[in-house]
Amino acid sequence: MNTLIVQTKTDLNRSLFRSKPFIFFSLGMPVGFYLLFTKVFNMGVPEEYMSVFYKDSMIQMATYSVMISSLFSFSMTLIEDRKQGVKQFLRLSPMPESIYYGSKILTQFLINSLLLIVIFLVGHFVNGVQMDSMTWLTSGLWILYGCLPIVALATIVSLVKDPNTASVLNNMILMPLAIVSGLWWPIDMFPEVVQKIATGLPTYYAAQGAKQLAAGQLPDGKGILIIFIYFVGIMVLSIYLNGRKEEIKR
Amino acid sequence: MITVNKLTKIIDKTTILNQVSLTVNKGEIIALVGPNGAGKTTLINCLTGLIRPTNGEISLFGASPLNKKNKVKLGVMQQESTTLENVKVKELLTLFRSFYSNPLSLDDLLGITGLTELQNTYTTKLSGGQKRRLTFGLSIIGNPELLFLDEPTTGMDVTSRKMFWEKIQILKEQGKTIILTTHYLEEIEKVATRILLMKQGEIVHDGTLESIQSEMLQNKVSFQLVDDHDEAKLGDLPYVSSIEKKENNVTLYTANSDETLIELFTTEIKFKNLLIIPGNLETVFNTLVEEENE
Repeated sequence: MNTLIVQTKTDLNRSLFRSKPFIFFSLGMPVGFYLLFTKVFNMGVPEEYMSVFYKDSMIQMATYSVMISSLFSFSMTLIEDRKQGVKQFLRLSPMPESIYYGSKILTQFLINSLLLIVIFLVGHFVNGVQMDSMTWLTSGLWILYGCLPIVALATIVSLVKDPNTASVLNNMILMPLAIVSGLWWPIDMFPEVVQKIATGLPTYYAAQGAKQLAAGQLPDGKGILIIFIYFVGIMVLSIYLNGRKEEIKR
Repeated sequence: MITVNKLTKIIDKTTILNQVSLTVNKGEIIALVGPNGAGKTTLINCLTGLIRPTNGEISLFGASPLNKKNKVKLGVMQQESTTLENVKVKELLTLFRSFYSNPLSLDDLLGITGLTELQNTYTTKLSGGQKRRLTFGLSIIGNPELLFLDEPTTGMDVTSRKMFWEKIQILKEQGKTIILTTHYLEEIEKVATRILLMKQGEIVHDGTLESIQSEMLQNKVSFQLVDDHDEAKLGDLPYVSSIEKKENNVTLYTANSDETLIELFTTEIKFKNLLIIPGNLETVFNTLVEEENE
């Protein structure tokens, strides 16, 4: 238990409180874009639609923020741990590896929750987004659930040897995925083909479901299923690839 | 404590370790010496259970190295230093202490590594030598009975190195068993009770420093060649393992300088300024490395 707390505390320091790139990319950028969209580029949005626009943009940027942190922070921490021999040290110590992974998941959960809270606070206090407390909670939890496939994807990206390559790879995945999933602009603005692709992506449903919850509806069953399938599929692939990598080394 | 029987490790069709057999008893301080690529690190990784042998058996504390129960008694200092971005010295030690149920105290560790004053420094900001000391500290956190040190002093400055060997001396007096690899032979002469010379995945010599000196030492015979035409004759001299020639200065490495000299006189090679230099461990090592490079 002690191990779990110490490790989580250390990891929070590493990838959250003391990491300037994290504060900038995972938090500063989404908050900045949210304010930019809603405060500056809001012309042409009808008055009666404004409150929905504030709310939906908040959810989109919150999802984007959680995506960045899940993919970047998580994969980078895993790569550093491997490069610096932390994982090897762990295998040489009496500590079971499950505690290590348990702590990594806990850390990521805490980081993502914090990001959501900050962006929700900005939405509430700056743009006056109003929801009852249960709705805040359920849409937040839904976003965390929707980004699980991205967390799993980070464990695959972390197999890349070099942090620079991983960074490029992360960027190549993140931006297109965020745009096609409708986190920047509504997907009805895109050609039909792109819309088709979007409805097959877990990150589309991550934002979509949260918006539905925020509007007092229930998320699509299809969304729940697609997110779950992606998560399990990527996880299985990751366990297979990780296992194969270990096997080669042994 | 450790028994290795005909250990072979093949990675990608390359034989890294070839039929290595070895017994290690409690309290021994063993130096693994050999050129890069001799298989020292691979041997350590097999003994600690990080990699599985292709063939052969290893028994560690009477069990398989993969047995998690063994890990409490084991400490490993890896070749590369461990530092984490945005983590302070004190915090890294605390993190690694949490992996053990009975770790050394934080104060002890800071004392042993000499990092007490740097405990609030970020690990990535430490100098190369300080990073090595920190990594050494990590390896002894669990107060292990058996300690593996892979090139512990590489990158350490003179002060760090002196301090490090003092700590090893203390561990030796405590009855710990230590297996270490190094490139600095003058250092291990004082502390090692046994030296294993490794070459191309095999242990080519297993013994004390003295036994290596008597068996493997090569004396150097050097002189100036007066007549260049005699150069061809040098290769025919007995016991000569290698010849170095700079302009007309010749150095011969020989396992038996007496016999080499007698032949040198009888073949009437003309020379001047003859010097015979007794071999040391460094020369043994260099010979090994050179053979490897060829």
